[in-house]
Amino acid sequence: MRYRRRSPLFAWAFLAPSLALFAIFFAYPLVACFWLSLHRWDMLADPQWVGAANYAALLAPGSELGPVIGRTIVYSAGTVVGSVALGLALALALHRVGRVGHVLRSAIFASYVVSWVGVSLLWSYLLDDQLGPLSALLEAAGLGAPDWLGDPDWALVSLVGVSIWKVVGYDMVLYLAALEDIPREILEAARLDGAGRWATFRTIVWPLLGPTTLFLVVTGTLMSFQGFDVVRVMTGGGPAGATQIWVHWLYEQAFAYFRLGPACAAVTLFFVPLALVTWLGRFGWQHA
Amino acid sequence: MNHCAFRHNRAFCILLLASCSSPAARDEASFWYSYGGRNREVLEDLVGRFNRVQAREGRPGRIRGTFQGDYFDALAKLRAAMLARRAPAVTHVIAEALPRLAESGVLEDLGPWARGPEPLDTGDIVPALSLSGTFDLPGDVPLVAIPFNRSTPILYYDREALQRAGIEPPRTWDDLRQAAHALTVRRGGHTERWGLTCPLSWWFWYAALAQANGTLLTPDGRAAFGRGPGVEALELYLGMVRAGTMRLPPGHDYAAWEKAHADFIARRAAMVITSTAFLAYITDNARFAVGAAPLPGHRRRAVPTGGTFFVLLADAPARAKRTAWSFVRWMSEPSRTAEWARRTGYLPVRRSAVDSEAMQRLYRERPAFRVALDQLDERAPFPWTSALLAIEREAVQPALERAAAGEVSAAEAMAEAARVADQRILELR
Repeated sequence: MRYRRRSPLFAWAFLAPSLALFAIFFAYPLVACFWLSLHRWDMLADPQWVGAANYAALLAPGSELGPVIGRTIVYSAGTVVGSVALGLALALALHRVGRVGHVLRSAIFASYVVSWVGVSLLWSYLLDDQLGPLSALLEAAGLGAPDWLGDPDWALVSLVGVSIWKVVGYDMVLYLAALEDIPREILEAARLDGAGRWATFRTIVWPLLGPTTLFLVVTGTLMSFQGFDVVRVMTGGGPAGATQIWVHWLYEQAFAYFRLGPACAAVTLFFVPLALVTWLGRFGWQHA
Repeated sequence: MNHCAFRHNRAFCILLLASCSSPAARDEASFWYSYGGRNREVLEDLVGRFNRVQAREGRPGRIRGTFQGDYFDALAKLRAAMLARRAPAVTHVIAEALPRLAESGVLEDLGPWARGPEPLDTGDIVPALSLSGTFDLPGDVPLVAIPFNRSTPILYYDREALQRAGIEPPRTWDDLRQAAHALTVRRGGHTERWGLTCPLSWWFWYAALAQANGTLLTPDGRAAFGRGPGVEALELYLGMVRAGTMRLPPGHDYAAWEKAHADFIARRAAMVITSTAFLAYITDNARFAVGAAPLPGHRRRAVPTGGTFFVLLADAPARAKRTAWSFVRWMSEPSRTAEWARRTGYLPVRRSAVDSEAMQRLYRERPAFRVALDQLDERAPFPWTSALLAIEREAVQPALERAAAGEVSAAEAMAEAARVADQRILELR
């Protein structure tokens, strides 16, 4: 009996359900994706072998891939840095400020609970260049309002702003929890030693918030690289591709242009840096 | 214990029953459609009536209508569903998608159905709206599609605004530019009213291309729009945008169309070029007299036709296809297509419907409904090429957007579009 329990079969039996799910929903799509990346296929005729042509086209000079990844990095960096900085600022401002603070915290966190599509629809209205209250306010103040979503120079910035607004509540809540965890004795000791507020923050609070910051940066980066809904609803990747970021671009290649080959080739190419980022993330965790 | 076993058995039986489809379910045909707003209400009403007629006449088979997003979303879902063998029995697709779908063999040949026990008089279909009127059709293409909601672009205008400015509806490009200029109202740096608004999209570009005497493809099937009329067509709109007399509605695809309609209805634009499909919607919502005119011409007058065709999916079960065909036939009956046209603004697709007393009366009372019909004499057919949808979506539309954003000139944009188009033509040949 004892021997049987140690049998590897026993372990495999327990692993089987997870393995099956992994095989069906992760391993198989990855392999199929790689296979499709070597073909031309529009979901109608049979896939046609093209070898490495899809990769060559993606890596050729003038390919769309570079600008798309560039925009994705801008969107991601903007969203992560913005939400972490603003989240921290809000947490510091609303930390231990009584009832008003509770109401404000709930209000700020509320946007995190609303779905991306809802948030995107709301902001489509708020940022409308004709009917939007934001433009109306700016114009009433005598300032010219840009065409937030229609101007290629502003559209991505606007989407970054909306995304920050959406997730900042989450960052704030985690920072608030982390601030609670900082022992008061340390802060008092610092005060007795004559440290000012800035010195206390720089040398004590910020280092102690390190793990939280790392966590927020890693999860925020992963989330923002998957950004899709906000683009799909607010700009459709436009104007003139100015908000065409990674996942939306893939979606468009595959399901608007029916070019599964290039889409899968791009996914396969992206797998390399993604694996690297994941590894770096784990490395970071272990050292945090 | 017994009680428990009984409950299990019952649950099992219910599952078993649910998994075997009943005879009625086998006759059911699902119908995917792509409408929002008012036109969706009209369509759902018609689907409901069809089902009641079926029930009253004791015929098996119902139509289960499902909204699937706009035309392009629905096309993506359709291709994915076909792979998963979950495609509907009947749907409606834009003309531009037909060549590739037909060529790949997924569409049912409707010829035998039209000649079968439930016949459809294809000779009564308005020729300009049929497959052979919409495309330069090679002889060997089977009857894969029956026209459903067909349209042309038309020019809507604010009657009062034009009267005050003392101008007639524009008949040429020059007239259009002048009218847009005359109708634009600026106060300070702010434009209170634009002369014209129009979504800068494939359909309106194609109209201008044909008006400039251009064609999409050369006789040997390569892109012909990279220079000359293709650029001129884009410049028609961009010139007015630069002059500040045309409002370019922001947004992607149909979002821009909705913006254009909203601007016209709110009198932020005195003219709008859009589909006749919105005639009922626009005239009902505008609190001013709306006029409609044919699109202005240039070297010639020309409009593409638009909208969709009914198609049956060849892979659907035979009984579902029978219900689907009954539905297509019922929807295409002269009185139904006339009703559809009256309630939306789309064109009636049957000659006998056009000639019917009801439609003739409508044309007398509301001449705007006639504009699209009269324009059919000047229709510019699409080439029947499997790359047509790719040319529209991947080559031309992005080029229009890039030029509109000022990233490239019209000439550069169209040259690049022609290059992309040639690539896709080669790939899909």
